[in-house]
Amino acid sequence: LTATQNILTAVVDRAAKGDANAQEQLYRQFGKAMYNICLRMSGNTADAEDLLQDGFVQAFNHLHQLKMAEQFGGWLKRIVVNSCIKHCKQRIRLNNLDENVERVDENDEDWWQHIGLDQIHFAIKQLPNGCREVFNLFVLEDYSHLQIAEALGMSVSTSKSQYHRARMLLRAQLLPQLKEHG
Amino acid sequence: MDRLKKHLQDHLPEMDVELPQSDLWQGIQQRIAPAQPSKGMLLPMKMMRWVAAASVLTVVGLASFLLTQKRDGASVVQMNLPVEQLPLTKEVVPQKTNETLVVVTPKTETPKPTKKVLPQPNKQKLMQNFVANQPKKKTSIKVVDSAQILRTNLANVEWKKVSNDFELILVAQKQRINRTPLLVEDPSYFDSFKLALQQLENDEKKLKKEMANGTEMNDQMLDQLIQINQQKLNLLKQLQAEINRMNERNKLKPKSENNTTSFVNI
Repeated sequence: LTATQNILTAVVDRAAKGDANAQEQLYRQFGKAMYNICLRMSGNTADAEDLLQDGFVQAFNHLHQLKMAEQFGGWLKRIVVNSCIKHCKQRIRLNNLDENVERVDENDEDWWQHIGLDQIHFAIKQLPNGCREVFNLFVLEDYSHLQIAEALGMSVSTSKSQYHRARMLLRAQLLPQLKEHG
Repeated sequence: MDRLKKHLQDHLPEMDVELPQSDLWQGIQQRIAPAQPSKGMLLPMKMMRWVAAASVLTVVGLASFLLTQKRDGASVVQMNLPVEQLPLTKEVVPQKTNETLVVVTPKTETPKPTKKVLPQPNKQKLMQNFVANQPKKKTSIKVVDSAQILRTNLANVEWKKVSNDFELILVAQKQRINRTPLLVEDPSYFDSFKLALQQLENDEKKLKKEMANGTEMNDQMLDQLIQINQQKLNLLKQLQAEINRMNERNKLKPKSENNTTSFVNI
């Protein structure tokens, strides 16, 4: 692990000095994960590609500000997620977000256990604007509802209700597939 | 933590199933700011700095010299005139006759002998003539900071040049976008680009207004102006790329009767 960290630190240092090969190496290492974050947040390929580009450009242009090179991954992820939030905030229409979503009691089953993670990924992409971003931030980026409310400019109760709406929609979309294909 | 959240967080890497397009890196590379100088570049950069510093010193020195010369030429006359006889502007040039010699002689009680000493009555008469020919208007002395003028002029030339150069490129790019036919997609799809461009143009107007209002031009303002124009250019390039991408996609789709050609008017 230490050796890996040392390699990463060396590559980040070189990238910070403008070494194009080192920058490309970092892109190859982290690009895929960041791209999938952008895809799940934006819901479409064109926006995801733009957001990925913006994130990496911003990161490389400010790489000299990163004090601990071994934390590059987390730092880059924060930049990318923030870019996504900024982008999504412009598209979410708060009026359309209902605070009173009926909650489904899922305690009796872990319906997702037998569903492929790739299927879940594609289903998240297809969620409607608003609840998709809330779901991603709460579940995958580990934001609290308060943080989501502040980031997306909505109330905490809206964030919570949109999260439950997203779960409900995912369940409605994925369970029939499971039953159909076994 | 709810169970779904835990399940997905535990298997997060397995959800990263899609790959970005292979040419995306080229786009990023083009947009990354120029790298910091490597060791091999240190010497030329140092030399460049010295050359730049020397050029600035030469320009400032030359300008100061010219301004001082001009001011001295006018001040020779001014020094010897009573306050109410001071000329209105700097354009007053001493006459190239013998009379001038009398005028520029220092006005002391014991004048130093000059090479051409005129008889005393003539001197008095000439002085009277000169005084009679001067405008009678009383004026106040306007103190002009030549260095400030020079600085402002250089800065104005610089930002106008930056602005004009960018404008040419931006207009060319806008024309190219306006000429590109748009297949299927509604032009309103690109409204966000237009909005962003409008915001940048508003920022630029505001900045130029500040400059025109006489706010002293500084490096920061010039940087801002360059940055705004670069952002505008990037935005237009992105718009062009987006249109091209959409067009490419639509070419692959089977043609339907609803396909219409329109243009983005930007």
